[in-house]
Amino acid sequence: MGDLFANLYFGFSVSLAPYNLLACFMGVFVGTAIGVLPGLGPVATMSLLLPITIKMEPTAAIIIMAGVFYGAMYGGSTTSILLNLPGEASSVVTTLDGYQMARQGRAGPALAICAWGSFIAGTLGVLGITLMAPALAEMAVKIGPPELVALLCLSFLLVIQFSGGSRPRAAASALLGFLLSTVGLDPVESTPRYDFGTFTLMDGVGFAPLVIGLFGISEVLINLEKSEKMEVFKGRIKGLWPTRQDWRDSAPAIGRGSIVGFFMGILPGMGTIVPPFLSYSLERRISKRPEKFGTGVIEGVAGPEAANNSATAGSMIPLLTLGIAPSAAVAVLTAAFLTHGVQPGPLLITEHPAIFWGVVTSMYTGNALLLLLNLPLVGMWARLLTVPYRYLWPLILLFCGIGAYSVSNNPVDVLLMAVFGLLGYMMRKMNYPGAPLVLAFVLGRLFEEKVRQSLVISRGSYETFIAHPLALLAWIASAILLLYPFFLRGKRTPHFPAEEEE
Amino acid sequence: MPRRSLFLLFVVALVCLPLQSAHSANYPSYPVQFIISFPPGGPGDTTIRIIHPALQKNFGGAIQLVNKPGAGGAIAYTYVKKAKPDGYTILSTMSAPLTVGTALRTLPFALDDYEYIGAYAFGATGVVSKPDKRWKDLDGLLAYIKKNPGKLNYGTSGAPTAPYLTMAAVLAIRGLKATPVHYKGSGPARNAALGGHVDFSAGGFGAMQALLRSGKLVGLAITDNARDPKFPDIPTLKEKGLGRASIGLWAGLWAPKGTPKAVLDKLSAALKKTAGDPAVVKKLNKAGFRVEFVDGAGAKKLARQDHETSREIMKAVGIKKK
Repeated sequence: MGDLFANLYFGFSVSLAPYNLLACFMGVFVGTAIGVLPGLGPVATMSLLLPITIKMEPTAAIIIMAGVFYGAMYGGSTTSILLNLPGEASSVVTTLDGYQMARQGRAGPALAICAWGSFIAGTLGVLGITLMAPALAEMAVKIGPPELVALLCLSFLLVIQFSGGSRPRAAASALLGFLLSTVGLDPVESTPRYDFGTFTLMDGVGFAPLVIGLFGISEVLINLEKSEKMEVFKGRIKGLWPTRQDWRDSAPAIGRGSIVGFFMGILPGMGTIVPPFLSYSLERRISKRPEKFGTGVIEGVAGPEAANNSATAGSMIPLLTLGIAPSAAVAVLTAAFLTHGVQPGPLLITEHPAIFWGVVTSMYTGNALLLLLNLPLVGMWARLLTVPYRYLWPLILLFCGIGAYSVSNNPVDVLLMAVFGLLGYMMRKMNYPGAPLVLAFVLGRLFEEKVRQSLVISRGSYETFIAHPLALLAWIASAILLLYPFFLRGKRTPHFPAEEEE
Repeated sequence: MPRRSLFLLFVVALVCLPLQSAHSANYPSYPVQFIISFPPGGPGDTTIRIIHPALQKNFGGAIQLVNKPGAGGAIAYTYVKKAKPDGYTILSTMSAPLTVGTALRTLPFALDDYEYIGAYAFGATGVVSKPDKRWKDLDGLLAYIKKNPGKLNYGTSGAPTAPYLTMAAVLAIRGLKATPVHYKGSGPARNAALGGHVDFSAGGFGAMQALLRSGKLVGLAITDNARDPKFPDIPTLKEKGLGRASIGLWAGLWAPKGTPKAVLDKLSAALKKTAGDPAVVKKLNKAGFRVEFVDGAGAKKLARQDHETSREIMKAVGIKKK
């Protein structure tokens, strides 16, 4: 333990040096900014920053890049809440209750709780890195294809319930997502499927065009269709800060979201997209007012936002301790290490202690800076909603287009975005929820890959899926989830006093 | 009307701009775009980003890096093939889509569709396994497979990649059987070996190095012409009489067919000078690449050789072109 404090002291002496502190501030500032802009995600920004940081000192360069990565998670919720447009893929779930809160004039509390939730989760996540990074990374690689299949099934069961509306419609939407995920080269043999002979579809449908179209474009279309008074919100802004009751509702959600996000972030493929979904469905599952979810409950914002922040911390663990990138954004971070002639991996901590501890401690500082940066902005963002929609929507469309294009510099992605915009519009007209589609789309690819890898390894024997203890555990949990509503039926009293929340 | 004539002048100037810039005398008069066929962070992206500052200086003009990932590199290759051969659109990537890719599937580009500027960074396929396995080296592994035909699994960096072809060829040459499990890239394949989900893995050597140095994985063989000075204990396939299974993996620069020779020479000279820069060499080595400058003609020969090897392997293993 004494060692730990010595290391932390050493780390802070590096990360609090003026130059590195400035780098940290720049990183989180840029991160928040691009998080706010839909589509322009951390992956694209970090790769743009890479050549700029090359002239800097390695520690400062990595601090700045990491700052962009976790800073984006703060900004990502802003447009989700204000415009129903996820600024970041990881903020899709935040639209569900965040946007409803904004429409009730509660954008301020929603944004503020996001900043606080992100801060708490981010800090807890970094604490997790500090205390148990090496052990967790070793455990993460032990999780093989069959275990992942079981975990994915469990995740999916957890989230299928969150849409709140009609179950068959949510299932249909998810099915469409699964189907969309089969477009492109199959994940094992690389045989092209449903690509109509085009290169663009050979890699499958892009995530950015899908999400931006489905949420952003369709929202603009729906709003334009309404009467000439097209404000997102008309009426008085009811307070900028969360009330005591808001805090009581959000605090446990933030705690649970942090834990879910951190551990899911370590797993390969989960990235920062899946954890918020899980957190949301978890909150809804254990909530005493599940029927209110989707109408603007604050814990539906706090939990997922906490989850995506601690997930960024979690996904840094495999990188720092094994040199493994569990997501695209972390892959760019790997490139940042390599361009500076530093190899991330098991030897990083002994060969470059200044970089390791400097970067880890800079994440504490960065999270604090982000809170200071984001809280004063809450008022400004909330007032953005009073801008007449006729000025707002062309700007939204512009940013949507930039977002869809900038991911792989391919104009066809903008067309795809428009197509998904129409699809999203029709789905909303007919009351089909969009979130299950997005989640099934993300999980679908990974699910197919892992099922097929499992079966190749086991020579086609399905026993492999229950042969591993962790997988078995996940299956049992899934079964309980499926069955327990039947046991609980009738027992649930409709109203609980809020004081009973722990 | 002065305003109108001013406007006309502007239009004329606009029209003349590209005409003038095509003259190689004042090339480059605006930033040159380097098209990268990998997403940021991929192997072909890391190499060019490492050399970018030095290359820009030696070239004497701005170089803009643009990632156009997708379809195993096919999007970028096609984009550059169709680009104007004026020296302002250059392909900066790894050789594999051109050499291995065109052997494996029908693609709208071929070896002869490009001018070769040069190669600068050479990667290798590495075969790795965990240290607690029954075998200690490649011979031990192959002997174990012989005793247990069809029982072992190996991870690959993907079905259409050189590491898979190489490993399949090694097994075919020795008449052995093991089952490939395809992962998405060298990183996941390496992790599968590390986590014990497969018995051994074949993938890009650069991705393996951090874990090899810390002893969490053991290197059994690499495909390069010579041993890596950082890992003198890992033999090459050539030493083991399996040189026929080696497919080169290298980073280079290409231009659309018909690009003026003066432009190619200027880029080639800048690349040569950059590849001789000790700071650049050190960084590329750290990232897992061997640095050697090969000129345009040499790179073209390498590409042809890799393409032929891929086709021979496909025939021997029984992989059909898709």
